[in-house]
Amino acid sequence: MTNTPSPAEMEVRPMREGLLSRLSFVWIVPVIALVISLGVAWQNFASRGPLVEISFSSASGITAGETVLKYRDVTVGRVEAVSFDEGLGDVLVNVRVDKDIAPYLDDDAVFWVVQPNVSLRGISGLDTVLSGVYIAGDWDREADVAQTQFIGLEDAPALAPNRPGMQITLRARNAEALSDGVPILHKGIRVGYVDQPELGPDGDSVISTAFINAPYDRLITDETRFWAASAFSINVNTSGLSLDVASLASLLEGGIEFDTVVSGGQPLGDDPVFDIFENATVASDSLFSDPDLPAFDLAVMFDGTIAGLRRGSEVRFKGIRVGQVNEISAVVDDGVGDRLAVDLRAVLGVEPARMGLAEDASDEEVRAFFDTLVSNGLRARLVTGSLLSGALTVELLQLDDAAPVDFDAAGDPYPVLPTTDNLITDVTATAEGVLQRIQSLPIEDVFNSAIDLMNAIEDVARNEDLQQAPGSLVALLDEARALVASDDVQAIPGDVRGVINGVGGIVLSAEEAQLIAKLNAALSTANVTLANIAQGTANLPALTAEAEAVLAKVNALQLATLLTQTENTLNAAEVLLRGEDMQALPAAVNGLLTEGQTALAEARALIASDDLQAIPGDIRGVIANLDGIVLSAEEAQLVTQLSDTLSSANAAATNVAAGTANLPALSAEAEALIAKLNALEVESLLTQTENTLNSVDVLVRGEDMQALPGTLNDLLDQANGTLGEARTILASDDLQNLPGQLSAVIVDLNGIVADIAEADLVAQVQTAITNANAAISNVNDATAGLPAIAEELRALTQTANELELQALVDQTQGTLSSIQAIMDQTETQALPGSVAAALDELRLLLADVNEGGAIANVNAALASANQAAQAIEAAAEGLPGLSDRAAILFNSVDGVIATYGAGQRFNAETLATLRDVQAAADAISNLARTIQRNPSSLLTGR
Amino acid sequence: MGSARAETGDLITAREAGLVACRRCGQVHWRGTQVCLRCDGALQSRDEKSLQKVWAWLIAGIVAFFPANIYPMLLTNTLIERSESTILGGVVELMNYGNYGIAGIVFVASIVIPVGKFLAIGYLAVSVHRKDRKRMHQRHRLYEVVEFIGRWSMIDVFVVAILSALVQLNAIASINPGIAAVSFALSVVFTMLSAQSFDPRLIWDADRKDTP
Repeated sequence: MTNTPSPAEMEVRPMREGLLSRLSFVWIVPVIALVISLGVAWQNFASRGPLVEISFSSASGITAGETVLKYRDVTVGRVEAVSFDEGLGDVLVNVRVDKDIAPYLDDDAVFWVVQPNVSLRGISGLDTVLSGVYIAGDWDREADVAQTQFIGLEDAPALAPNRPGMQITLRARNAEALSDGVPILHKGIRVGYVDQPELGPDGDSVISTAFINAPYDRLITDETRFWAASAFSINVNTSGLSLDVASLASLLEGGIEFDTVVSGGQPLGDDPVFDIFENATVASDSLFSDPDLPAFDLAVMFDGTIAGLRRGSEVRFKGIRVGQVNEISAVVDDGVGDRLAVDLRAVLGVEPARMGLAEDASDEEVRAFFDTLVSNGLRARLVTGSLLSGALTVELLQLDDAAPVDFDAAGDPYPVLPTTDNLITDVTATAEGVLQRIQSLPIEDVFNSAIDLMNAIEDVARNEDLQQAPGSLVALLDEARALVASDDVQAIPGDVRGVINGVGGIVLSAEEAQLIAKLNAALSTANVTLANIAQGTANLPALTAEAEAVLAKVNALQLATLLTQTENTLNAAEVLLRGEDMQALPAAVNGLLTEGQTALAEARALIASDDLQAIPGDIRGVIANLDGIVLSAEEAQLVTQLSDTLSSANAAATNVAAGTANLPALSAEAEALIAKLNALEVESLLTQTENTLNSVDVLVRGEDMQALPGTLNDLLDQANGTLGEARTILASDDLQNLPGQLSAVIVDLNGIVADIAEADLVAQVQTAITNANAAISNVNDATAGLPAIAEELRALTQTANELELQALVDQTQGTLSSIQAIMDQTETQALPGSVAAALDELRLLLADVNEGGAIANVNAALASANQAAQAIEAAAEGLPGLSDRAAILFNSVDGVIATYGAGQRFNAETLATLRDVQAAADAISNLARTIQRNPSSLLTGR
Repeated sequence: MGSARAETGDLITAREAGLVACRRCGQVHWRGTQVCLRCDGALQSRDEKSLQKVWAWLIAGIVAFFPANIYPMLLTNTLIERSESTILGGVVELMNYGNYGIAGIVFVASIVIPVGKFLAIGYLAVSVHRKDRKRMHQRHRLYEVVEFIGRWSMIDVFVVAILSALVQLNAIASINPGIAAVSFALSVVFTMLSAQSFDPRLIWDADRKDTP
């Protein structure tokens, strides 16, 4: 079968699939890709906003393609191109703005470049440091006619154009209160801020726009007053130092406060302008008075210096500030003869409205007003404004008695106001004067005198005698105390009282017994007796022998001290006699003493008489006679006479003894009386004594009694003289030779005595002597002590009248022996020694004190006091210089304070610096906070 | 006619021999087998739609290549600036900074190779359509090269990815991929798929007579 016709081969072709079946699904992918790409591209293109052109003066960091446009921190556009204007004018920045934002870019849209800005309102735009600058825009929310070309601002606008609130204009004298960004405060709340200040249209003020936020702008009315919130103010004036410090916030950034104090303000007109006052006080003052009052210029010519007056010093009228000093200058005045004089002229800017005139008074009215005032006595003068700094103010005052002066209303260039005396208190001069007076005090002399005085006191204190004196005085005091404490002295008051009583009794009995007459008679007989002494020389040897013995004892007794003691005794007797008790003696005693005085005078005369002077010669003769007498006495039986005499003397002595025997009893009675008196009440004793004394006093009132002390003194003087004469006599040669002769006489007498002894006269004499001694001892016992001597003397004279001479002589002898006994008393002899011992003790005391260093301490204290005085003196010398320097210091302090006052440049600069510092501090704190909380926001923004 | 001489019967294609190989695992099967016995892959001797796929993927890749160059590839945020850079912009910047090597690498990897791939695959597809019989070896080699190199275009994407992953220092520096990275990656993927879809046997089929 190779050639069988076969059917034609059918062309078998595979079925051609449809297009869709031939297409694979893969084609979807490119289709989708295409669609996506094209869709995205179209969308980008279609949603592009319009291109807006903003012109700036410099690109300041704007980069094409990167810099964005932000509205309220939301990116709404991007810079596409940065180019220049024609002629290289402005920089044109083309910004592609979002489509939905574009319609809002109308007339009020503002654009500015946000850069980092440190200002009072804080640090802004810090994120642009990292991310680059961006353009910020601000527009309102109404879509007006859209624009595409804008002019960019240099700086961010201070006033947000779209915030609700009010825009006002503030005006001030200078820009220190109106800085950029200064907040406006109301009661401490920030309600707005101030824009950049500019110079006002008249060049005299500074104007700035301010913005006040929404709810607070309703507070602004016509009567609102703005003032600069003060940071701090120091005020030093006559009322003291006042320091006002505001809060720390306002201290750093300042502020402007406002307040509407009065109601009824009108609503504001368009573009209201407000003035800024210095402080709240001035602001509120201006509510009641217009601060812009017209000022009227007056010139005042001052005499003398006006240092302390400066521009701006106040002018006061009755305490109210009515103006200020505008100008101070010197004016040449050539109206005084040939000499040119220079006067000081101050131009005062006075606001007459403050002095009472109407505000709109014309110039003529003002001149007439001042004319009237000046003719009524208005004058100007300088007064001290500040004591501390010496600043002056001008005061206008009305003088009642001012000399009439014409008000030079037409003065050129200003009317001249007459002046009167200034009232300047120069504190520094007064202080200087006071200090000079202090300096002129003779402090050195006073100190020298004090030093000399202290030296003298020191010398006196160092005196050895004085140092010994205390010891001796102490011993003396001890002895005196012992003496006083001795029973005898203790008994003296009792004895004195007894004496007083006795004297009282004596006086009483004297009145009755007329003792005076008797005493007179006794004295006359004593006179006779004394006259008989010259004849009774037989007794003289014995008397002289006794006297010699006494004198010998006296010699042994240290005559000088004896005489001193006798003088002291006589002085004591004188004291006693001068005492009141003695004053109570009757006047007759005065006579008695006078008689005694005369007797003593006669005795003196006698002693001084040639007879007595011749006595020693006579005595020799007498002795010779005595021999003969003795010889004859033997024959004449003188012994018998002597025995009779002696017996009578014995009897007399017995009488005396008996009499004096009563004395102890008397003294015992007196003592008993005294005891009774002691048992009695004191008042009765005193009354009795007083009665006695009164009775005595009656007697004493006599003139004779008054003269008693004098006569007594004379008597004592005479006695002293008598004693002196007696001493002279004793010292005479004749008397010196006497003892030899007397010894011979005594030998003879011894023979006589031997004979007498045979006649038992010796025994009688001895008995007589014993009786006398007993009498005297009784007297001693009864009235021991010195007054006993006077008593004895009185008794002596009393009995002298009755007794015979022998008895008298015996009594005298007894008296002398008693005196001798007293002299023999150990106490008396020991008196000088005890005084010396007292002085020794005082000396020892002083030595102790000296050892204790008290004196040395006193010396040291004195020396230090001396040094202190010298230091004070040196310090006082520097006081005037110190006051000068203090004055200079005060002046400089015042100047310094003035530079720190308000309105000074330093203050403004300091405030500005402080504000900047505050702003920087704010920024730093913000940064720190941001870094703490959200560090990435530093880069990416908030 | 090509150099192959069918009538001598010296060279027989597998298709003529009635065999088909699995494209995935290479297992040879008799024609008519639907599923590979080894890897369960679909057995197809020739895919008639392969050229469509090639073209589709190629077009997609081309379409995706454009945004890759327009849009920024890298978004760099440093402390002081943020910048976006496209591929070409990046190359230019690198050259400005003096990094010529890296610039060259980026340029080659991100521009030259993808564009070259587009051209190559396009040429291959066209040549298959025209049943061009010349330079079959070269075309086959070209195909091999294209397929081998294709993946290396992802270098740029890798760079972006690694930079984005590493440089994430919040404020100081951070790099984020831009849209172009995605787009470029897509473009590379599409081209790879395109190259993968291309059946190089079609090149040799032009040397054969009508083969079923």
